[in-house]
Amino acid sequence: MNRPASQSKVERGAAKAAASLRVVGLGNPVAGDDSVGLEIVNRLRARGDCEGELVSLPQAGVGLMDALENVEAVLFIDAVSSGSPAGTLHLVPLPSGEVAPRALATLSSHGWGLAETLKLMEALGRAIPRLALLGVELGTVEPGAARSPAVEAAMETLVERFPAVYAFLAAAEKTGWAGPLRFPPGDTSLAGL
Amino acid sequence: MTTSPTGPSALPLRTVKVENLSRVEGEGGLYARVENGVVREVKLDIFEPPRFFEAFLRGRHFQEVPDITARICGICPVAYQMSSVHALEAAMGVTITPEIRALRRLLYCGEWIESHALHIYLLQAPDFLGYDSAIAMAADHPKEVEQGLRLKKIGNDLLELLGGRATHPVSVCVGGFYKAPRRAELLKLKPDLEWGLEASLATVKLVAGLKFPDFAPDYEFVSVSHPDEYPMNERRIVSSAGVDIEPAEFERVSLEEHVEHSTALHSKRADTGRSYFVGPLARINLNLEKLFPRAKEAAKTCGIRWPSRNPFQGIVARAVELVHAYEEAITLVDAYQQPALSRVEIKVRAGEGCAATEAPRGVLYHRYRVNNQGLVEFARIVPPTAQNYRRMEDDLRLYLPGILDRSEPEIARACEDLIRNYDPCISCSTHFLKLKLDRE
Repeated sequence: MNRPASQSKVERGAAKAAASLRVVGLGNPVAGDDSVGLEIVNRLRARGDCEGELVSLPQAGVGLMDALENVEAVLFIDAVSSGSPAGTLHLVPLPSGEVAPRALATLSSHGWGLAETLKLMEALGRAIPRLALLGVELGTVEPGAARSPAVEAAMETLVERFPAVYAFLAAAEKTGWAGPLRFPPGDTSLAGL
Repeated sequence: MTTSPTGPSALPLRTVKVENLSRVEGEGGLYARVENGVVREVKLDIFEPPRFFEAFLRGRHFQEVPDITARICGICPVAYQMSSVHALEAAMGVTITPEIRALRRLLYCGEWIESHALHIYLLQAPDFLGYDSAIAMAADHPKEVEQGLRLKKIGNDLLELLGGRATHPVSVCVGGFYKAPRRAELLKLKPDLEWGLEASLATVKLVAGLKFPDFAPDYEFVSVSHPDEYPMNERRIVSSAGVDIEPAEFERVSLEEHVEHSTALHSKRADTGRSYFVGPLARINLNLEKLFPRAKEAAKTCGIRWPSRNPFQGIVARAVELVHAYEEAITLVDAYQQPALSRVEIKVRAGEGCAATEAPRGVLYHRYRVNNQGLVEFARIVPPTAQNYRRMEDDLRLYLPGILDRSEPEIARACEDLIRNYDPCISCSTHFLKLKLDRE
């Protein structure tokens, strides 16, 4: 039986800038492409040379707030659905109009996500770190399904080019960020980072 | 929510729909038909696909069961682990040590803490204070919401330490734990637990002062019962109507049946066909004197008269249990010594066994039959929410006539509030709520 026992634990990567960036993988490990955020963090962890803290949150819920405490910046990695082709990469500064909260009054506890967490932190007057989302456009979220080939390819690119993502975020902190970046499936250069 | 184009209560037929009940675990719907002021039909539409866990378990090795059943729920996985390991130990004649038993209780305390704090502060308090969500409530009551979040987090920390992770813990096995924590690790949690005890006592005062609707049906309360302990892991099952049975007799007394409008089974008394009530209110009503001292004192001095038949006062019962869970956790941590063996040896043998433990939402019954290779041949799981569905429908039948003079949105909201008293975990039973009200 597969036991990702370390998934809920914060693990520190290389000591460099450890407290400044937290990389948080979100998703459902058994729902096809929805597992992509968790798998990328697994692979970054295996890489062993990533900046900052690596955190996997397969079922975050209200606990997502803990991932936003005591850190300067958080990069979420998650599957997204925007209508783009599967495997498209989106790097989006948050908050963003592209990530809208659902209707709050109709939420069950299962509907609690990042948008709701940010709203609650805002209501409580808690400090919100700088946030960005690295989204991988999903193809299938069928329970038990394998990840789509396009998502697998995007994932490999991201893990390989992650230092460039980190460098971009570090630079954006100083120079600002014009807006969301998109990279189509098959773009291994990630030009612009 | 959508409402019919027709107006208030005088009209013979009105329809109210709540597409999804908010602030519960999972999703589902509700339908009610009222003709000339008389409630003709009430149905909790549990429309999520059935999850077939009992079938998944067949053919699996017994030691996989606590890991698989933990997946039934993200809020109460420990309950599923506890009922399964106790039932399988009964099936194979395994006796655990007192140290393992205490550690299991401590783990269960962690789950009660995180689940009760979540429900009190984030799911149900907005009902009493007039908000649509905890987020809206937080803007006006940040101190209370922060308190609830911290209370919950301490429960999660305890689960993570004992279980390896807070959601779907991985340390529980038949016979004990794969790994027991070091005493020093547990002692580090003590300051937080002590803070939690005081905060949960404040929680009792807070919720006991809420205004409760006047509603007190003639319930049959059912809970696990132990001669010396507030019920958690064992052992008999009792009711306010005089039931007092071993878990092995449970299926003779409680009958599950399929109803057309639900993908979850409904439970009822096998002899009378009547509904019954499980959960914190049932536990307190039947076991008040077995609470830990400060919890008992809080219960007796908070202004609620026990036994209480008002389901809205379930939030007070939950708060008293929060005190109990913190108090017992502190006692268990103080007494804890890391056991030399974290699990007892299992000699596999064919057998059948069952157990009932107290999930945060009430009695959780499991029965298994294993063969001489330790493979599961049969599994039955009866979750607390499935046992409460028929009772929730009965409550709605009784409650609706008294609120028909209200507007459609007010009726819908009142029905949701009533259902939230049960802290339903639809995912466990299978998932939840649309309200559709036809009035003639």
